[in-house]
Amino acid sequence: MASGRADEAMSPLDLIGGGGALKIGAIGIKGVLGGAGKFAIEKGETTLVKDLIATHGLDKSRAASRKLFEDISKNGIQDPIKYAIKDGEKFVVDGHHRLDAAKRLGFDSVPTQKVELPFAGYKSATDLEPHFTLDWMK
Amino acid sequence: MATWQFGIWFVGKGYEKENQFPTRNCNLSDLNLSDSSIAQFVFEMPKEKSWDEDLEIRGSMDGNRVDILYEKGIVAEIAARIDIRNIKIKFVIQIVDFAIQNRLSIVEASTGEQIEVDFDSLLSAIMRSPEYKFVVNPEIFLTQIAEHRKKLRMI
Repeated sequence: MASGRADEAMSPLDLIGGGGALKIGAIGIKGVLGGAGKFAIEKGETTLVKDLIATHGLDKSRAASRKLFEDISKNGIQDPIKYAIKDGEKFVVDGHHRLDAAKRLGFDSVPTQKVELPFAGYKSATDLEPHFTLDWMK
Repeated sequence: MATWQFGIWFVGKGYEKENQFPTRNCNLSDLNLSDSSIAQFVFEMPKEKSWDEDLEIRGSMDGNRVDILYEKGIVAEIAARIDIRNIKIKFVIQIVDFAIQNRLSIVEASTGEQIEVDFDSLLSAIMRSPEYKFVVNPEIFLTQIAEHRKKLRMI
């Protein structure tokens, strides 16, 4: 299962190449919200980071991860992390790198959007068959 | 990264899997990839808004997608994500063709394992992947994750 890989990834210091930028980013976001905890953005639904369960490993390279980390440290998370609920637990279906960056930046909560399964047009194995055929013929 | 996206990287022929993820040797800057070859690869994929000036994103964020990372104006990394919800065979073929044309290897992004550069091998890797299992039956997939977490808590 790939969900454990987030814990094996680099530390924030590795990602950003030093503690200075991390500190500036985290304090900046905290300051915007009056210092009552670290949040990624102010509006919309938010979920505690600890309540979100990853369903996928991380696949960005070291360099690409660093870019995303730097952006989130400066601008927060702009696009909500999408999750589905199963047996009362929140499983992330889109936004694993954003979640990983939020954890490393010490965010308590992140902007989220609940989605229903199937989300955004899942196809069953049977449904996939015609698409194989049609695309192959194009 | 969406759970339904199967990620790959293009790497040089000398690629060796590293032990520590995500520290990976996927830098292509020494290979001088041709701009025309890259342009042809992403020709039909519109540019998406990127969070970094050195990162060009083609396709759709949670669908079929190609990420091109530049270092000082030179292509340093190319990654692709295949949307397993509705596999576009044409895109899979384009990935294989691009690798062959540029003498690159293909690596499964979430494991670091190399995939033979041919259509059948790439499609087989997709079919074996957790991403595919998720799409085929997300309910079972999430149940298995929940059960795995329960077991870990009991240890």
